[in-house]
Amino acid sequence: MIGSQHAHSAIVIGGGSTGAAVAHDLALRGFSVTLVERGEIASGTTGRNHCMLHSGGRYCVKDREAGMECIEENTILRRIMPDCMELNGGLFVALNDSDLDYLPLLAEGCQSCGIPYHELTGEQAHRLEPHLSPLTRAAIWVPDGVFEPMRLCMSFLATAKANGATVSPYTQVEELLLEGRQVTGVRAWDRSADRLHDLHAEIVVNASGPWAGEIAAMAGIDVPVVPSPGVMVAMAGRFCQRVLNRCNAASDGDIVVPQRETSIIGTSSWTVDDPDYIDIPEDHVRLLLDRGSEMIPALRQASPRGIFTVARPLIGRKKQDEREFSRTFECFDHARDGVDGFVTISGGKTTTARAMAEKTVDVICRKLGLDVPCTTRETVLLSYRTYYAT
Amino acid sequence: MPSVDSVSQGNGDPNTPSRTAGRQVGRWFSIRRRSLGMWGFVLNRVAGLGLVFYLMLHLGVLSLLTRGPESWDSFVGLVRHPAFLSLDVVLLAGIIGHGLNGLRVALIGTGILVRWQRQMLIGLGALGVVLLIVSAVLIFTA
Amino acid sequence: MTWTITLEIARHKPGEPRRTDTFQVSIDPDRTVLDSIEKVWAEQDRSLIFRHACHHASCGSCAMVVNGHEVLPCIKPIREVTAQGGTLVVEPLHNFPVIGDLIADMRPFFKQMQLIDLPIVGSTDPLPGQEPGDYSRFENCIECGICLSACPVVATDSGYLGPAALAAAQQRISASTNGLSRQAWEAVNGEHGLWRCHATFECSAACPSNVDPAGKIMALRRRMTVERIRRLLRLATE
Repeated sequence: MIGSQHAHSAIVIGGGSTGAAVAHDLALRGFSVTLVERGEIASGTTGRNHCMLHSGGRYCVKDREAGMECIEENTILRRIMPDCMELNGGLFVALNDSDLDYLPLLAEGCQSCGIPYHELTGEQAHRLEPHLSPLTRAAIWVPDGVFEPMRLCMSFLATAKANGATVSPYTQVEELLLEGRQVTGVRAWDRSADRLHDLHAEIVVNASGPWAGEIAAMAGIDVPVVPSPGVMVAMAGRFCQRVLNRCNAASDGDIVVPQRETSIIGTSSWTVDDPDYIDIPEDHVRLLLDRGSEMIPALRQASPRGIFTVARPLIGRKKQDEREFSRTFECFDHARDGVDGFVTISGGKTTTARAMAEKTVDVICRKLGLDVPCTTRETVLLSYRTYYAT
Repeated sequence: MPSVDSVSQGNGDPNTPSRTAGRQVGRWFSIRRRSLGMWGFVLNRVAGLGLVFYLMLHLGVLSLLTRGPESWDSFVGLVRHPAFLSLDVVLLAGIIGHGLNGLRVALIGTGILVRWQRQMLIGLGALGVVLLIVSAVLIFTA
Repeated sequence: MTWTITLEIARHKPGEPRRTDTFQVSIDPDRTVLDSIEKVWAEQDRSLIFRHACHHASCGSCAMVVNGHEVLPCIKPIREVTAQGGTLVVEPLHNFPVIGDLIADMRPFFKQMQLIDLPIVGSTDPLPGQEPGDYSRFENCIECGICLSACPVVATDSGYLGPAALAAAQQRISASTNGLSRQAWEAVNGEHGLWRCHATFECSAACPSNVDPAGKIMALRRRMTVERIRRLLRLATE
């Protein structure tokens, strides 16, 4: 499974979907990898995400590239992580005239991005999802799905570990070790043993999500990542089997994701300075309940099981409107900042984590003069349970 | 992988293995805010241990028979005392409780009436109390 | 609205004696116990380690014991477990080795779950009134370990398969014709398997995800008893 081992080593900072996918790709390409994560795997942004395997329908109208990327990664994840997702598809639901105006734009967007779709009447939509609002006029079916973010990360990391990677949770990076303008490793605080130790590697990958700016600052680099939280409300009760999106341009509270016996309404958006602990704005919760109930009126009678928030890493400077931040990802090779041995990968979403990793490890291989192809598209991941096997 | 402390899993804290074993068996008797099913489990254990203890006593007492009618008769005279009759009622409580709950466990343990396990505990418990009161009355008035 | 509550959190680093640290936290009582622990970590003690990921009871990673009860702190609002000025005693799960602070070592548990190998996504019926189709759904069991922490048999028999694995075995058998592997069968039917359960029902009472492990264990026992009787009858009539 692994390409021939070479002498190159890497440290990945961050155990979310980005870090996990990067560690997996690096291990497959023969690197000796150590991943350090301050908390538990997926305890940052990834763990608290909306659990939605995007079809790309949400991006295909405004951002064709993002839409195409989504459907491609959607297909790949189904192949490499089988039996770990609810795959009942998704609907874009039109409740009023404004939604109906958006419908043909969506259809066209899906068409041009290669996202399989078909249009439904309100009646057909009701037969598929009986709890939909009686106001439903029409709908479009897309291949959305539902995953579990922690188990997704564990699947990538189980495979990486089987290929020789070391995963160190509860290990916080205190400093980047520098020799001149070269990052040579990290000084890490193993919080479980309460012990500091140094780890050395040729390349350090900063995959710490909304904390990417903090980590990069340890090398004196300014990375334009803005912590941008959103609220999610998980309601008790399974009111749909498919992901439900509102048929409009992306807005707050316009998605309901089923998962076991809950229905997760999300999300909203604002920016913060400190992503470590975030207060939940009451009005966001009310907005989500209102908007979710527009699609599924029964949600009004349901009770919330979990209300949570976490910062997303959005690329861009703080002054812009939060929803206007690019949802794409970016890999920064800090050689351009005059610091070698250090790259940052940030932005993006879990659905495209594998692609983010592919691009990042391509950049790393180029930096090191290695010519090793990426095999993560075809490599089926091990069961997440084996993450705990070693 | 960080080092693992095996204290709670029965592998033994190298310093105080007996304290660990004690803490574990202690879980058998923790009823603070536990479910009804746990109450049944604990009472069965307590009654079971009590009955074993009684069995030993009983065998010891029976051995008096080998010492002739005098020691047996004097013993019987002793146990007619109300204090001992009360102990008999306690014994009976243990037998009735352990027996009825044992019946319940035998049923649910083979997958019969599992959904009614709580109701059975309450119902059989009530029946047991009635039986006990009747028996206690009989014991003291006979 | 803000309450001031006290958290007494079990602390432990390997090689050091266990202790309890006391923290005062000001927090909205509608937020969860997990939020209060996270606040302690963020604002008062960065050395505190604890598990969490999804914050909505699907990953199962945050399971711990709060005021003597096994809970998922991520869905436990503070107002449900204490009052203004109250105290929360926070400990790791019982019956697991502890890696540090509130973190239980889940490796042996996941080995058991791997042995049974219940696919975490199974097929599910349509919702009432829904058009028939092949729907898939995550199994109820989120592998949090709460049932093992609550079970008195797990406390004294470290080899006991435990409620989660046994429930998964029943789920796997009843859902498919594939059944269990030979090794899994031997474990389920063996000395530390299915028959070790003492019908305490603590697992079902504590389970936060509607698995009813005790019910499943008894259902599996019924299935096996019926099987055995049938086999005996067949032998008798041969």
